[in-house]
Amino acid sequence: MNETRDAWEQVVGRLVRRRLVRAALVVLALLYAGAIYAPLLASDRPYVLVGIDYREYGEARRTLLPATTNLARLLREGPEEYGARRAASGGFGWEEAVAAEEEAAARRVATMQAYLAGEPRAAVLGDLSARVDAAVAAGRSGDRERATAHADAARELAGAIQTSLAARDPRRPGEGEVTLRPVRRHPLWQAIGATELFFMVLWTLVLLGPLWGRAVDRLLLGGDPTRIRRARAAKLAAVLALSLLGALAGGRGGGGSTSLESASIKAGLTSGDIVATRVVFPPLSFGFAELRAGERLRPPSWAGGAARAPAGAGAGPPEVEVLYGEPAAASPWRHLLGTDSLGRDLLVRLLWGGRISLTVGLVSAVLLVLIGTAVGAAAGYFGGWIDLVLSRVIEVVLCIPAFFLILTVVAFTDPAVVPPLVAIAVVIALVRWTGVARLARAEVLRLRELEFTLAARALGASALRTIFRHVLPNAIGPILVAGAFAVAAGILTESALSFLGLGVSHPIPSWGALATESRSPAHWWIQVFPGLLIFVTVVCYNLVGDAIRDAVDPRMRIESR
Amino acid sequence: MKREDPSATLPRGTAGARAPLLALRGLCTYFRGETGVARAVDGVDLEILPRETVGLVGESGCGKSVTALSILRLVPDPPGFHAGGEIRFAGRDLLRLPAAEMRRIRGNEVAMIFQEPMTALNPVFAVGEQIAEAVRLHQGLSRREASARAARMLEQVGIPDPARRARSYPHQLSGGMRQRVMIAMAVSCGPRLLIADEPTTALDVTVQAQILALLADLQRRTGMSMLLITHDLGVVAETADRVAVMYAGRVVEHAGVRELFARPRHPYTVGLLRSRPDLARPGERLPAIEGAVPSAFALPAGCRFHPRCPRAAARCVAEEPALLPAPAAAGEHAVACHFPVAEEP
Repeated sequence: MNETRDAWEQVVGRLVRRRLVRAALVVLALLYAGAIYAPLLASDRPYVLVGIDYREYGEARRTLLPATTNLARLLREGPEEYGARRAASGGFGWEEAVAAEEEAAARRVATMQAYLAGEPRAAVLGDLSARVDAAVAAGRSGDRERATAHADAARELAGAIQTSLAARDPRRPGEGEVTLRPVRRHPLWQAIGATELFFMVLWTLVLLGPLWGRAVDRLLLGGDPTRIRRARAAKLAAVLALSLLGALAGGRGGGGSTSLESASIKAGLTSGDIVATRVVFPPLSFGFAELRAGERLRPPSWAGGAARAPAGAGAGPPEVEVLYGEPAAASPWRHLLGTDSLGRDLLVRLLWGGRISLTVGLVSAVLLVLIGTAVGAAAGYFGGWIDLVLSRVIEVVLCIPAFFLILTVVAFTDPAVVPPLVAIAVVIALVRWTGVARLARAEVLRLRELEFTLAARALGASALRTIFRHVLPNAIGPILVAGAFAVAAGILTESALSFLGLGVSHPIPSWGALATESRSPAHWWIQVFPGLLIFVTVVCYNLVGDAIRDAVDPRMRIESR
Repeated sequence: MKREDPSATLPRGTAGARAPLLALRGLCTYFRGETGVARAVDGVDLEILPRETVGLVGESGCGKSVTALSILRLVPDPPGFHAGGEIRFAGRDLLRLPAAEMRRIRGNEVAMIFQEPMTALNPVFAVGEQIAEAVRLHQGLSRREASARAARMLEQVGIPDPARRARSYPHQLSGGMRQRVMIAMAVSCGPRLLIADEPTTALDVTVQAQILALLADLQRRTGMSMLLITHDLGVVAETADRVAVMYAGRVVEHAGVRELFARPRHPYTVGLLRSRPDLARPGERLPAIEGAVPSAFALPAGCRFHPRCPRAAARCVAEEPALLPAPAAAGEHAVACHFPVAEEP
């Protein structure tokens, strides 16, 4: 029976047999989902916003004239004069300055056009933009006279627009007479980068894998095991291709924002600067760095957080500020897990913090397994002086007090040059690979003496081929287990570093940094929840590591029982 | 170390003056140890003709396996090293070949099967994949062609339901099956020489006979030569054309299989043949050769067998005998003894 299943099916089958391991896999999948989807789950930006941002329109209208004036001045001066003026202070070249001003003008025009669609007077914006283009083209080709003429015309148009196209802002009635149309925007979408999108698509496909995988097997492949097996690589390629495609599409969709907004959309909606006809917020409508002076150290909802909140409204402490789109002050859904000492939502910060912690753990583990396996396999397989040298190197690295080295390196790297996330992961890998290396060396030493290694050589396999195809696959069990432990250790190390204040920079959260934000037992939730997540992740990785060891060992014939 | 040109004295194969496929001339493979140098193989002369099976017999530790590994240049270095002599295979000196060239010979022209079919197969790959790998390494077949070839090879070595068995892992097969897989792997590229290092030692007797029959059958079909290393004289009697007897790193006697069993000349060979159980004399205590094989670190001076030899004399201690044609031998028969046994014991 079991001979009809190939290696992959057997490994997966054994892996998911134990209930505890299945649970651990599900928990890990959810933790990673929380980290990957954090921007979609918890953000102060709405998914969809259909409305009029009077603040934005007003700013575009008011600053259109300065932008065109600057452009006109640049074109009048030409590169030489501009160079002379800027020589002292350095900075942009003339070309770059022109491009920047041109872009500033274009963005203001585009913003106004969006709100003025259908308004006959908006045609003048088109004239302006044509003038700007002509002026810049002439300026670049060196025709300074024509450039100046066009730029001056554009400036006059901008002045006219400023006075004539004032909006009828409900907060300043009587100021203007132009009626604006609501514009549909996706502020959350625009904040998501291509890398984030890649992982979101990837993880969605992975999580739904059992569903679509089974559907494809049954409908497209007719349930034939051989065809299903052959399609495995194609499926993996399809998942990666779709994720890449998603990242590319997202990179294009999110990149070209015409928005000038800088302040919080929630604040705008609350104050009336933005008048919306339709807003959809994420389930948790708080940003990870959103401060609330009135809600410092609010306990979790079920521990009295919701009940206590209105009491603060009366006396000394500042009032609870409830912005548009947020649950009411007394709602249990507001700050479900409480807030920290600055009034930031703990649940939101836990979701975002998982990104740092889980990434550091995974990246450092992958790196250290690669380094350790390479060094250990070389030492064990070649033996002789290579083993001698590599073993001494391992011992030297082992002697270094790893945590203090990590501390030192992280303290002395410039976060502007090397992101702390990368620095931490790399340094952890560079000092922690020795364990895996010793393990790999011992395994390879054992396997090298077995006859199948000799048999492989006798069949004409080269040394590298023997190592990679015959020795390492047999050593992969212990190495994978060590790798799973390394993920757990990496998460702990990152937590410890953040706890000491040397992790990723504030206000980006990580689980370790969250745990350190209060040391008072009265504010237990601040230590307990991040600690619990770290604990659960580490335990899950250990469980899974253990299960992998059993699953990749073909000699374990559990299924015959 | 002074030695006459051994090729002049070596007995030729029965088929006349065919050029040997493999010729070992004074092969020496030593090992560096903490207490000195172990002379595991110390001047072995051996020839194998095309289509011929040569049995290499001797006690444990006499250098049979090291000889085999030396031919493929697979003696682990360090601590092992080649200390002299040459290995000519099909006109080429294997010891001078560059490593890449040597890899093309291994498995493709000279293949080897091992004693322990349990450990000689990679436990994490299906056996079909392992056979296919050998084919792909040397013949550049596609993945699909190679796995088809693997199934065909499994069929040739008498494994039922080869397509299904190709997907089995070594632990799912019996010992005899595993040895068949090993053989399939070794012959998959059509080697001209197959080195079988104790191929039947780990198997039970009925399976042994099947495996030997299979090897003989494959040899007849493919025309390859075979070097059969064993300590089992029964196996040699059944399969080999010629036999070389090794003792303490050297070949001490060399003859056609019938000649050797009928008229052994070296006292060591005589002792070996005597120590076999004999159904004609049940219940008798088996005569054993007194003493043990000398350590390769401290080989005795003169004839290496003299401390255990009933015929030893002063000359045996002083002078090492060369492998020379036996006096009054019928056909080819060479022996390295100052006082060879004259008649049937």
